[in-house]
Amino acid sequence: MSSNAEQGMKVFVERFRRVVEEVSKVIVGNRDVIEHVLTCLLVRGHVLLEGIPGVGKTKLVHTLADATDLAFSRIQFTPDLMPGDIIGSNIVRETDDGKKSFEFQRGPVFANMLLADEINRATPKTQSALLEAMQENSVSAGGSTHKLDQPFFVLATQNPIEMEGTYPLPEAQMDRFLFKLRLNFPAADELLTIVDRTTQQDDITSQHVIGKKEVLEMREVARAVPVAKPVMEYAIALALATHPESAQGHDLSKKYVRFGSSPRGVQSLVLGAKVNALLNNRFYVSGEDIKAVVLPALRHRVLLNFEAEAERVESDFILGEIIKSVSMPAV
Amino acid sequence: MKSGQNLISFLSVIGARLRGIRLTEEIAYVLAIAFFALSGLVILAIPFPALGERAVTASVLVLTLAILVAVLIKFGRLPQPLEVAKLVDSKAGFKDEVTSALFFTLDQRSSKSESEIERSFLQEHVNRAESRVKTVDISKVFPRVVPKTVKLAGLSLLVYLGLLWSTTGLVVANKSSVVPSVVSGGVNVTEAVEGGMVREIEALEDIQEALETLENSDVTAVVKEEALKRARDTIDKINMQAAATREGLAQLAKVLMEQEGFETIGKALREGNLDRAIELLQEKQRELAVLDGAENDIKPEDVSAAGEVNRDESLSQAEMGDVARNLMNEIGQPDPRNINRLIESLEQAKQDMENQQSANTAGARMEEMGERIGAVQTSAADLGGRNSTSDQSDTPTGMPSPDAGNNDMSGGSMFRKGSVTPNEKEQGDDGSSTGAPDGHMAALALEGRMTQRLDAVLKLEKTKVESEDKESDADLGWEFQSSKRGDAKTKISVETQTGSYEKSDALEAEFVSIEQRNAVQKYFLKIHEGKE
Repeated sequence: MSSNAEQGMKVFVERFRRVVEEVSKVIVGNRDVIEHVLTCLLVRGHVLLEGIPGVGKTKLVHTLADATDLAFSRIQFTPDLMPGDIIGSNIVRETDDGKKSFEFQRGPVFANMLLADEINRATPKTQSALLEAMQENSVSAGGSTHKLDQPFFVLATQNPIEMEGTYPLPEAQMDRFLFKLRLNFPAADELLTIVDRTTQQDDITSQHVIGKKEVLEMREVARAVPVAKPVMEYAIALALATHPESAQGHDLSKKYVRFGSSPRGVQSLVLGAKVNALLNNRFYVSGEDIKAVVLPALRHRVLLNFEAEAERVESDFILGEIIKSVSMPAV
Repeated sequence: MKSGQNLISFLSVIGARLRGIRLTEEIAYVLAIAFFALSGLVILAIPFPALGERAVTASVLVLTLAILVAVLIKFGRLPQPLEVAKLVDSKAGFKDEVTSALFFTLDQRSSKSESEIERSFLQEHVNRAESRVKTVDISKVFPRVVPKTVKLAGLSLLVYLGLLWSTTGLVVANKSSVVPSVVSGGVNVTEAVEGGMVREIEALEDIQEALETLENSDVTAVVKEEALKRARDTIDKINMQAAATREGLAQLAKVLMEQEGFETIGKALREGNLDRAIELLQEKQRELAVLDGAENDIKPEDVSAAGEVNRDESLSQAEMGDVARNLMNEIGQPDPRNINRLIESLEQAKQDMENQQSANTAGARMEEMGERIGAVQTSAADLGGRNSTSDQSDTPTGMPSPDAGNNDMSGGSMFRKGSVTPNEKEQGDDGSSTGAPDGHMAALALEGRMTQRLDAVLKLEKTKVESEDKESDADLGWEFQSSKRGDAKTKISVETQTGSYEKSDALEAEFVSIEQRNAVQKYFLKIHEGKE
């Protein structure tokens, strides 16, 4: 039994590292982002990537799909994009004998890895078309529900600077994403490498290092990591600290936060911590694993008020202060 | 499958050790407080002997015992295993491994819902935690050290024992026998302070303080100048007080000279021999007390009580006159109780003289230092109260004014008539001329002391001019002859108008020169404006 766990962890870590290495061949820097994207994939979550144009958001998703050999599809979100364009629609098909019937034409959502590029450019109606797919892993169209193939993984990107003509994601939609990751502008040496790699005759491409089956196995292992009650309580304390109305709310939350983290935030913390524990060769989740994923798991769930925007206080700052002040609950 | 018994036993060992450490710390803390409390009692027992009684100490000890029992009950139990596990994790840097493993070990929930891989993870987790704690060196993670509170308790015990040792056999002297009566210059200072001489002493202290300020190189020139001004005010006040006293003595001397049997005393006073006058009065009092005691059975304490003088204020000339007049409560029959009051008054007067002397000595030194810092007026006239023609500013010799007994007491006029309005006709009604206090001009409220003084100086000159006229009346024949010649009177009037007489003339005739008068006026106006 023990050897199973040990073996499972060993394989998990090894595969994880391989994928990350493979993606890193194409994507320069942002290693933590790559790891977090993979984490989301392995705990059945979805990820929202945010970054200025040209930092490799789309490329990262492409590369990850290549490395994991998952069915990949991409939707470029535009204002005139309709929900049917994403989930598909019933079309009338005439058979050879002249009979006509409706047939569901699958949309691009039917893939293992869906890239929703510039998701904030579509209308909220279209954005919401992804809600069911992301939460239930199924889509309903024409009175019938269609299950999505597993693993189903949505990577949405959005540009934080071009806000004109965009539709900020509704809170409900935002909450569906396990992590919100920020791709930082590469450093000078990383930029040099990027230019060097992308200006040669042959583009560097990633290879398949794991397949769908391996991904599903890894998902099973990741979920198996036990989490003790004190650690869960710590995650809950962190989430509650983001609530301005809570007695455990942090002072900064009371001042700058409009709405705190949803219960999905705690789930995200625990799930992300599980992968983090495995990557650190632990069979259990510690408080440090929780801390490691607080920012990506909660930053998009902490909705700031006007005062925070006026004073340019970011959710990352508030969360950083919360991490400092909240300690493991007394047992 | 998961057992975790090794983990639990390990944590029990740690828990027992933690309990021991905690108990030691808490008990030592209680003892430290108790010993400090007892030390405090030992110290407080010196001024308050009631606190040194055994009952108080015993109650402190009982209270300490009660707290100790409470501490034993609270901290005597083993700490919770999860609490210990958390402590082990933090001390050994296990990143919640022991806590997490212990949680799953103690978790009694059914594990039916767990998948195989989940169970294997749990088992592996507990096994790893068990093997991890085996490597823990308890003595390193929880070393046996003497807690700080134990050191504190030891220190408090030492303090307590030291205080006990040092206070054993300590005899507290009676406060009243320790503090003797301070007698200075024939005046009981303790009584004086209690009886109202505080202000005089404070005045001298003010001068002393000003001297210290002038000597202090750290203070600014402005502060020094302020101190100098304050001290000058104080000296002026003392001088005026002394002048009033001196004039009162002169009046007293005059009255006594007129009283039968008191001539020698009056003479002694006139000569300025206050000690002799007091001595003679005491003799007189004894004689009268014997006579009256035989007739009226007057007790000595009655004499003493009746003669007590409220020393809150110095005796004014009027009061001094009252004392003298009240000597006779019946015609031809001196009252020994009033004599006692008179003695008190003379002692007070003597003290005033001494104060003036001290103040002027200190003032001279102060002015000297003031010149050094450039904060003093260079003109001699600016010295105000130290004017050579003013008897109130002279360094006292104990002698009455040269005009003692005369009606035209310049100082007395100055003091009493300072409030006379310009249009009010002067009556020349000092106490000695009227013989009754009702005959005195009531002192009116003044705007300020400086105004009073300036006014007084101006009055001084006016009075002197009038007195000169009287002298002229006395020498009527000479004046007639001079008029005939037509030069003497003219000379006087011309010189008075021009003010060209010599300083020595002014001194002899007790004139105040115009130059000096203007200087005094400027001086006080300057101070007056400065105050505003």
